[in-house]
Amino acid sequence: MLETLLQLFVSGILAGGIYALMSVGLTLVFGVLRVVNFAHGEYMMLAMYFTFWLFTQLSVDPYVAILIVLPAAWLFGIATEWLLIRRTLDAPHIAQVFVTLALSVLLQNLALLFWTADFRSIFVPYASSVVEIGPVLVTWSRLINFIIAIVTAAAVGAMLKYTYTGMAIRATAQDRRSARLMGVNVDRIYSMTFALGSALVALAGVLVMPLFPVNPFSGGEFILVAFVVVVLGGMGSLLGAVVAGLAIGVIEAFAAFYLGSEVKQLVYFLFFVVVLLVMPAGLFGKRGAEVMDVT
Amino acid sequence: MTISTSASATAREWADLYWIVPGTVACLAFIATVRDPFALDILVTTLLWAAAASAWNLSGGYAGQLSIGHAAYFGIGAYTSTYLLLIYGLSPWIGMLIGAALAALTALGIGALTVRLRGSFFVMATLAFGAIAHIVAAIWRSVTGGSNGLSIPFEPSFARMVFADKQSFAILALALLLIVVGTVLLIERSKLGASLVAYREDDAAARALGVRTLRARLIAIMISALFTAICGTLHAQYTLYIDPDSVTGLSFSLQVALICIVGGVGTLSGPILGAALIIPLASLLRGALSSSGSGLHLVVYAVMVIMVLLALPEGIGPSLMRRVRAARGK
Amino acid sequence: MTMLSTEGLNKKFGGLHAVRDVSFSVSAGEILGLIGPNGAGKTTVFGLLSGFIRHDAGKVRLGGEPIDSWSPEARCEAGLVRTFQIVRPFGNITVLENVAIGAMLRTTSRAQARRDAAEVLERVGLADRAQEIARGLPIGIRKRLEVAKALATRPKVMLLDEIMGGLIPTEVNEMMGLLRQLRTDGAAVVLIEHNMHAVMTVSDRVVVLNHGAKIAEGTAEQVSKDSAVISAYLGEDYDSAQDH
Repeated sequence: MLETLLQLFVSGILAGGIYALMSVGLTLVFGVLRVVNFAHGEYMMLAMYFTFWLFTQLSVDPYVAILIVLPAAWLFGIATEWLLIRRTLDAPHIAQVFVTLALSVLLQNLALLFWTADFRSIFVPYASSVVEIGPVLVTWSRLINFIIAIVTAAAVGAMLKYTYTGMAIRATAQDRRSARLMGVNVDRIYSMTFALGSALVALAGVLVMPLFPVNPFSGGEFILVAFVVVVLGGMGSLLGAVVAGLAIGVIEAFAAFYLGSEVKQLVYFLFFVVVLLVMPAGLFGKRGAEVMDVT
Repeated sequence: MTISTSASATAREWADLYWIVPGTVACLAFIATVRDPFALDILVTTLLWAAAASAWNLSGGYAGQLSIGHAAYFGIGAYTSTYLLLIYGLSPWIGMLIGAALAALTALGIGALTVRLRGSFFVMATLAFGAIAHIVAAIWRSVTGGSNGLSIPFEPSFARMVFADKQSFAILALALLLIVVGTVLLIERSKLGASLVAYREDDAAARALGVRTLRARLIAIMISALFTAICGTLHAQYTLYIDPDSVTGLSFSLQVALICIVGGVGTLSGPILGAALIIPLASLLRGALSSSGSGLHLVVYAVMVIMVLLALPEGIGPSLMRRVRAARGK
Repeated sequence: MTMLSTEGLNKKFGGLHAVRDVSFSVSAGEILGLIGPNGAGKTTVFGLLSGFIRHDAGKVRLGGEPIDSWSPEARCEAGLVRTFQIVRPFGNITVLENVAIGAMLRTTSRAQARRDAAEVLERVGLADRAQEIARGLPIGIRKRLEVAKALATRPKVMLLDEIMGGLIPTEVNEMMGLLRQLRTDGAAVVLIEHNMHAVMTVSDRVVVLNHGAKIAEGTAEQVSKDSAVISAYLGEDYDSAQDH
């Protein structure tokens, strides 16, 4: 009994690391640009397909593929920011929301066009090799993924805190006008932040490719988890995204075990709704972002 | 200087009839003369989407509450009437009203829960509610048939709302659209309409002027859900088959919103113009491009929507009007 | 007749005691100036009176009736209206429709609301702007629009927050004329204003706030000689207060 609980907890934490990584980019983009990228999940889906393609066509190992997929995602992020996001920053809210929603429809259907609706997966022998930690069994790849995810999130946090660029990003997040007056190139910060967000979610995509099959609609499912995580953690909060990512991983593991995998999604959406209603600012978010300012 | 509020305002009050009446006549003429089933199918689909988009527009456009979870109401309408018909033999005419009432109550609940959420947070909450509806439709097999869906037997009769010819259904869809548009028109001209616009523009400023924005929003979302559910019933009766993806999928929620955005959000004619542009185009694209793989028509469609959003963020209708007015020298 | 009164009004934001024990009242046909250095808590007091912010302690009465638990909408319906320091026009609709939304409070007919709104626009001198879209109007016009929206609700008490900021001298004179006319019509007006000359000229009585507390009350002449008031302004921005 206790072993089962422990096993579920560890599996949940390990899955949660990936959720955290998916959500860090989303929360960062929201924090700095004040834009929710509804196509964020599709970036992950594309990264998964790219990894799949590299593996099947060129036999590139997924962990090596990181070196190719991440720069590509970075460039893709820069391109979308420049083509779409920048043009809607001052547009009505409706244009801002629906331009990324339309982008997600576009990317999904491009994927459908190129790869059909079939699920694609890759097999790497080490993906299923198991390591025993006390009474708990974990697969090597999940453990390594978790470590990469957490180290990456920590590195992003450190970058924001200690480097000049990081400080410029934080300054822009606080107040874009003042940042501009202080000599920060706000447009460049936006571009970089969006690219970073894309690269982070692409990394999550590469890491899960050996574990989960991908189809054009995978992004839609991942984005819903990422929303739950980001809102729970507090929109714009990096630490919040990591903590909430782990929490959602654990909740999901327990719900899947005790209620069945069909109901588990229902559980975390209900949980999401409760979070939105009870503490819309999330665990670590600034109060007020979710509601209108009233003086 | 005095402000003319009487004569020009009265002219404006009735301006919408200049396109509603000819549009209705044109539809009736089309129904009376055209026999091509493909063309009639496009007409029925366009009319149904126009009605659903008009319903979305009431809360999404006038009040600016961008919902991407309206499939929940569409699904409630479709499943309620279909379930009651299949299990109890209840006429969809009555099932439709029960579904509409259920959807309105659900909307009241969701509206009350999301009352404090603004902007993207509201959008995400509606996305979650839509996703919940989809999951429920998929796992509540005893009612929805799960992913197998529900089929309505093809036994034409008025009481069963099944028709042998497409013309009858086209008239039904046209009648529904006229009822929805008429309702929206009345609301637009009423205190409720003014309250919704005031809420959309600035909630605090509206409340400072005594506008009961919360009540207005809840009424709007209930009426919106009610008509969306009725569209759900009609959709089920027209296609005679429903499953979780077709009636509770995110694609429905996105499509109703995108139709409004393309046509002109928060205007009476916007959803109709949007549906008249998008739905036939989508049908033709699907027909023309089906050989080159599924998804291409949606690619074209998404690109078009993005271009409209970037180039004409007010929608095609209002942007055209503005150009016409500018060309006339105001 | 006392229209609006407060007793022992208090509000804390975290560690900041924004409003402490503020009491005052304003009568029908009276203009009360509410002045004080930046950050004195004037706008917060308006937030409390209009119901947008909940007070921690104290009483607010409108026409003798306690309204502490009332929503902003209910207060407005009962005749208490406010304007916002940072004006909040409904940006995408016309000036006339903006004002008509205020007028909708007293009628269910849109046509009647438009006629009422047109009348109000005449009064504030915005008749020639009626059909313009509110967004992008110059600040002087938007300030007057803010007042027109409030007027259209036919208030008994008006809380006017810096309605003269950004106005040129002739516009300030027009606004003061409008205020005097409101007084003649029997309205009670509370006026927050940085334009010292204007507020001291037009107010029947002046309440001075500093660090959230009332430090003086009386006629313009009395408070301008009050040592506590002078030191409060000297401590903050005596010069800018003198400039106006």
